[in-house]
Amino acid sequence: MSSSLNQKLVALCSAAVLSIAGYSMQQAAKPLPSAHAAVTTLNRVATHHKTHHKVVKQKKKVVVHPKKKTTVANLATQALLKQKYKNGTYSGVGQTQIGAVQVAVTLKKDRIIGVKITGADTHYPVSYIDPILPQELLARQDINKIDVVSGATLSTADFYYGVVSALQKAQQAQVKYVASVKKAHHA
Amino acid sequence: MLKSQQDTTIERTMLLLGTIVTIKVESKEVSAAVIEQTLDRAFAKMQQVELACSRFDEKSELRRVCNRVGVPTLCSEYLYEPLRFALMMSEITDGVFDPTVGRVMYANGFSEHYLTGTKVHDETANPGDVTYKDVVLDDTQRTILLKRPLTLDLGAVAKGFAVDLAVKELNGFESFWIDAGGDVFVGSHHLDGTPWHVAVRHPVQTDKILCTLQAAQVAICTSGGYERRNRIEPENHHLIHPITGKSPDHVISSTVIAPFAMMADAFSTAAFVLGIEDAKKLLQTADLEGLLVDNELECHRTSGLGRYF
Repeated sequence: MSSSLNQKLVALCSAAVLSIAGYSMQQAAKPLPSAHAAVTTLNRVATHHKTHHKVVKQKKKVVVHPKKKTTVANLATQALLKQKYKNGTYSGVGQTQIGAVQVAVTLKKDRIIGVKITGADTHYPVSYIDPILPQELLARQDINKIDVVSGATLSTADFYYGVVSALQKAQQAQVKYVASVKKAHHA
Repeated sequence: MLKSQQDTTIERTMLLLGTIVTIKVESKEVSAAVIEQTLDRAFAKMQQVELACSRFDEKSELRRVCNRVGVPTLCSEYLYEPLRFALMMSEITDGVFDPTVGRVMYANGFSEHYLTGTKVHDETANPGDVTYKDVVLDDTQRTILLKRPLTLDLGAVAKGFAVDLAVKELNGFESFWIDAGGDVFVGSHHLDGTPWHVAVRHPVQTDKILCTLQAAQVAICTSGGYERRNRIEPENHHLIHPITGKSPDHVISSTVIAPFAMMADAFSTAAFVLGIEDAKKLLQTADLEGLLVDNELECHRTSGLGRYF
């Protein structure tokens, strides 16, 4: 087992290396298309989040205002409806020409509480990105910071694309959930 | 071992970061042109680190920062990240590892650019008692603030950081290896599947090998006092204890294995300066393996080093 100091130092080194990654993509004569695609996708996803958030807020009003007696269950539902992502574990796959990385992301109250690399098919050992990248994501939480690292090597792109895809699923699940609650309320 | 016709092996050597840097890539699947392009990128990154962190180049970011006291100075990640790591090492070692030793090194004659031989003109006033605590970083703004005039020296982290950046570029290849004057990083294995063996040089009989480590996907860094002797005080070499200003004599070679070269580099330097007993404790705390040689040529291994033989 790694000591906490070891983990701290590994995280610092890994953050240091990844902080430069963005430069490489700009400087490289030909940016690798798939890594580039990941960046675009991430930006797109970030915008989606905002939109969905608004939608969720509107739904919240519908639930809060009815003159029903507020029960504990009711409060819990309200909290759930405010979330960006539906609680649960979601899988996602990121793929580039060198292989693919599969991840499982567990969300609770919009916090990423678990990140696992569940499968990897890349040229080199998964140990290079596991557990460093899952740990980093757990520590950073902020999806927008992913932009900084997605220009990294293809494995990193694989990982993050996998996470993005998992988060998309969590969002879609939340939208569905909000819609179903609204429907039940009107019924 | 059979070699298929598509096997490509490319090796490139450059003078960088005060040493000779060699990168070797072996691949079955990637063309020579792609490897060459990747090597261009890897070396370019390493050069960026040198441009940012050199204490010997007046135009380096490091020198620019050192010329501004009392004001936060914005800098690139190429300087900020290794400095941040160095300061973390200072905290861990209670100031034994200290990137503000530049002043002391300059005073001891380590003041020539390794390529041009030109002398560094360091006009920084010398308070004499500066420490790492006089350097304040702001992670959100990426600025460096020097509370007092001082000279930063990132010699113990910059080279490792440069190697890590090169590794990042090379990681897609089946087989690669980097040697940057004592900082070695090996990929998973040779193209034919056999493991990498890294030889640690004997600190006194420098044409002999102390031991050979079998390693995969790790950095192995050796700090030794035998390469660069101090010209002004011959008993001192280029690794200097920031508190006493003297080179410690009881460790003459220290080798550390770590997942990142910056980590291996910093820890081998720290271990060297700390001395045998404290160094072993430090490595144990950080869960790292290493090999230390004392001045009576006795080898001291950390408990888990065995798995690298």
